[in-house]
Amino acid sequence: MLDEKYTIEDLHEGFKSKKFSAAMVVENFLKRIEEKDKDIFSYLLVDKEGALAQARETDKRLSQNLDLRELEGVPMAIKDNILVKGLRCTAGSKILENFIAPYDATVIRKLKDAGAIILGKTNLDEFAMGSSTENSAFGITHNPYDFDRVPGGSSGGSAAATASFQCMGALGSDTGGSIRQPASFCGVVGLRSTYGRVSRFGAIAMASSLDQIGPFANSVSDVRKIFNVLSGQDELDSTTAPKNIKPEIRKKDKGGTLKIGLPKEYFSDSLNSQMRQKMNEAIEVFTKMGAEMKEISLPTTDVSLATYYVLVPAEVSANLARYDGVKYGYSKEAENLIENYLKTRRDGFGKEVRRRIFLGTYVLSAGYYDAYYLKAQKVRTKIIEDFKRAFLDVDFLLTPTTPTPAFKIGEMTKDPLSMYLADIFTVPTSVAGLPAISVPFGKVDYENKNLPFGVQIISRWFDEDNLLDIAEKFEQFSKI
Amino acid sequence: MSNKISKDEVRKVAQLSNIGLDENEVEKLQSEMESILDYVGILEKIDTTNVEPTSYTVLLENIVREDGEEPSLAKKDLQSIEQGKFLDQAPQTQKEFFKTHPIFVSKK
Repeated sequence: MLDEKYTIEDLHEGFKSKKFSAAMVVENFLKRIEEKDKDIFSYLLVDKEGALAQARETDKRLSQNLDLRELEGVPMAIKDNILVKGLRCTAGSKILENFIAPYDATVIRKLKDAGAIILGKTNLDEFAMGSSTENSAFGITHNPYDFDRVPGGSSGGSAAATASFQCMGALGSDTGGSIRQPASFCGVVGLRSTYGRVSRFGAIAMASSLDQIGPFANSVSDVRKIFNVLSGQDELDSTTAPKNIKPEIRKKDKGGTLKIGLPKEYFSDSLNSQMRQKMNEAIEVFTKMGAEMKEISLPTTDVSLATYYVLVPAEVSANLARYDGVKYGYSKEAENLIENYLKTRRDGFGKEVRRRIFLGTYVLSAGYYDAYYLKAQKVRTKIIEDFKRAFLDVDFLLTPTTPTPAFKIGEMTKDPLSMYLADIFTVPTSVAGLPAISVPFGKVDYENKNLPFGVQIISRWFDEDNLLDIAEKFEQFSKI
Repeated sequence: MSNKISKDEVRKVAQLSNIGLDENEVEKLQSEMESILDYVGILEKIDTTNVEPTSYTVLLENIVREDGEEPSLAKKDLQSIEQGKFLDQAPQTQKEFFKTHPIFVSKK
């Protein structure tokens, strides 16, 4: 059984019936990483000894017949912008090349408490800035379905590792789509929860008002299990919401029909024809599930990406000011302090990071603050209002996760704007702080390749339970 | 608003952001910024009269503990990290301090 993909439920069954031990499972994953990752490069670091030590702990618990914890013995991979105590954490940047995490992020603490086994740290675009995992200082991750293509990004390493079953599940972070877009490109499930659902303590900050940590897995039910462990208020992150916060549910019509909105702006000419065809098939599945489909409009869709690319660089320029070559990380010798800053940051940061710090400094500077930053914050309010209006009429929104399947390595790197456009369907929900999930739905023919396709389901704020329910149902129905 | 950005402006903003921009990078960054600013310029078209800005999408409330309550395990762990775990990672130290260049330099 260990040779194929299996779920957490299968794993726990195997433990209970003593088909295998946690150590056997981990050995098996380590072997698979050794075989597969030379072509994919999803891991930046594999913690062989740490993983085996955790496996022995699980086996000890099993031998004592203790109850299985939620994620007992589940081998997981962690995006390398999340701190795991004692392990190197680079954020994909030369500036943190030798940084050793002195403590666990809250999410890591929770995973460990739930019995999960941490296999290693995965590749990402530097500081999570990018949509292809080509911006890492340590190398490019390849899509497991076609090594000439990107896995998406910025959590490309986690998505690729999950898709090639070099881990059972993984953590990523999603600022503008960095979980959902790679999940879609690699044919796995990826969830971005409502902003404030999951603690950011111990995650290396990119844009603090948008960053959310979330899970990848090969099934919705595994994603749910991981999410249930991750979520909850954290005293170490004051932006986390109380666990008992309830979503505002729409008053159901007579008969209580499930209503799903199709935002027409996502089905414009920019969506390629094979993707549209596939989307129509997905809509049929929802209809079979008894849902009523309704075309709706989100007029601010076309300005969401512009809003995002003002707000994010602004927050980036503030958050990345801490990398100064004095306290930790890479430092370039110079004769005085300012030269030390300049040379450290010139050589330590990559192109996209410097570009965003620059853009953020610009939109926050005197004379431009009102025109760009304040304006974008006001448009953000309008984007939220748009979604609120939509959710008066429907329970969920359905869109493709991305405008195209995985693109070729190198295809988008020349022009930063073309790379930004890869996130056009995931950014609006991020700006609004809404939860959304990408669920794989077969393959699509694209440039003579058969590539994974994902649908995005968006729910109301804090409505993850219902979102996961409908995603799971869709997953079941689409297999029929 | 014009989305043009002059070379001098590029140099000035680069200085403010401490990214260590080399002179041979100025032109490329200028053209990239113009295309990005051109793109985000569409925000101008949106009417935001009487619209409040949003900085966070959730209501922020302080998370406090009860008086006399023991710190959580997570907090205790954080408080007990040895100073060395941080200091050992500094590029330069002197005793238990970070070492850096002087900020004020006399003009002798």
